[in-house]
Amino acid sequence: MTKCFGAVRALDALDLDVPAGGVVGYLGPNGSGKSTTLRILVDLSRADSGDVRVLGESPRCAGPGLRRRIGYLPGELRLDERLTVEETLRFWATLRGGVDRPYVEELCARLDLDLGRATKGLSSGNRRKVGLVGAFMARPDLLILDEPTSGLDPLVQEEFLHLAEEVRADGRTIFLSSHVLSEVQRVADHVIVLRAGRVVATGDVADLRHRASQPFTVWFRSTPPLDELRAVPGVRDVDVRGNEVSGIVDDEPTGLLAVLGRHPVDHVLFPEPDLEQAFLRFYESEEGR
Amino acid sequence: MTAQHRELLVRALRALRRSTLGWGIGIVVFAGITVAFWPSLEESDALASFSGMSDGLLEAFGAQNIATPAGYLDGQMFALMLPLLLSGMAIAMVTALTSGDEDAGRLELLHALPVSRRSIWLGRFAAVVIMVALTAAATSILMALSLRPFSLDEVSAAQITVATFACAVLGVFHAAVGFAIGGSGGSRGTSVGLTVLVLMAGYIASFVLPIAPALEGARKVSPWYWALGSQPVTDGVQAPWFLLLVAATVVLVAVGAIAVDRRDIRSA
Repeated sequence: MTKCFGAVRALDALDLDVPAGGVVGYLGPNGSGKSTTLRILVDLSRADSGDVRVLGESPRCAGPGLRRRIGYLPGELRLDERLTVEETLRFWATLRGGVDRPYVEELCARLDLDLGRATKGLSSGNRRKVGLVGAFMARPDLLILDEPTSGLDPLVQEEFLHLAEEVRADGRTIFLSSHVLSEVQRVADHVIVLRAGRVVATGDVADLRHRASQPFTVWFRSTPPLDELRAVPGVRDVDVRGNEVSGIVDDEPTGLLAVLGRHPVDHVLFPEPDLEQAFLRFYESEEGR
Repeated sequence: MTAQHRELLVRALRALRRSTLGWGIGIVVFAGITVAFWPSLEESDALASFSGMSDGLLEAFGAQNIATPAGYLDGQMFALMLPLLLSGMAIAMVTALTSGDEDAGRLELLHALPVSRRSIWLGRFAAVVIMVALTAAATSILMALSLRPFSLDEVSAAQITVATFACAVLGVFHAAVGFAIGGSGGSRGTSVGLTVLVLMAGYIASFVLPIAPALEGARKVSPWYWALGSQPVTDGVQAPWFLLLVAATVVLVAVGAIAVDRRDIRSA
């Protein structure tokens, strides 16, 4: 699908396939088109061209019937400040045709959300909790969550991960956007990376991690074999300080390890690669096109 | 009406409670003061001073017969102030609940729930109609009860009821203008600005331009004239023009409800 806002092309012939069941992370920097995509999936916005199917149906044509099967959390949640948290959730529950009340209370307790509070003056984290309870409370087939943990404290983030686990165990689907990579790494089975309205990478989290650029630092016992290191395919950004050499190796590190095996080494450090590193490389290659 | 529709209506009514109270008290107090002033004005020669003014100028305020009870109520209340206040109330409320809430991002999550956009928007319009109707009813009852105590009983309660009803429908018409603009994607500022422009242009076309004999026909394009004629208490409502006003209101509401279904909802 393609979506423009005036001269700005927010989504550029975006081709997206979110597998059903499990947690899918939708990653990209601010302004990459994540929220625009999610808003189209719940029919808040309409693509200029292209074909969109959610749970097999067109969001535009299927209307409320389809949205009954979806729980949505917007990126910027603004609540009606005349209501309390309880009234807000009851209102949404009635519009959903009723929900399991004990489950709502359980969700509030788990996310440490006080039902009796006025929504006026709630912190962004607490507003987010209200939105999360609203999204999860009807146990929908699909949860579309825009930056779900932004503003939440670490304990509540942890609880969110448990909730996501439960959805996965039920065979339901979460499609969540984020630019907080560590959290997606922890929760998602599958990742789609977006850049300037286009998908630049998709894959399992493990697969993406495998393809990630790997930083390394090596302390040699004698003069480092710099020429050999620089000749290894995929090794780049080599930096030397005395006997200490650091750099980055793209793809698998077999060639690098072979070089290290031929020279006496005191110590080697391979920090755990995170998706940010995978991310940056995809962006760099995209920009180089 | 389903439970969802009822809930949408009830929430919208609740959202309007406070502002209805504010506008309602203001309008009812204004009506009370207007009625209460009649005996002293009738006895003094203040009203005689109007006879020196040109007919055209008096007509601009619907006050051509100001020395009679019906003419006094037309001039002081029903030809300008009550329609203006009820329209102002209707415009403020409808734009707060539609384009205002959309500007603030409060409609985003609501529109992602399993209810149609039309149900949400029409529920909010219905809430405004109910609040305008309640305010008009309170005003009408107060005035009808005050006619005898304040020596205005030449005017019947039925005349007051019809004139107040006409003012309320004019208010609802202006709410429909704001609704159509908001439904088409106008921001609250745009909706209020354009609707007030329609309100003022209608008044000018109905009461000011006709002062020049050559422009007398201008009133026929004015919603004010369709609702009120030139003296709503004295002359009552003219059915064909009134039906035109109702039809225009229905069309504007339909435009808003259809347009909102065909566009993107603004995010916060």
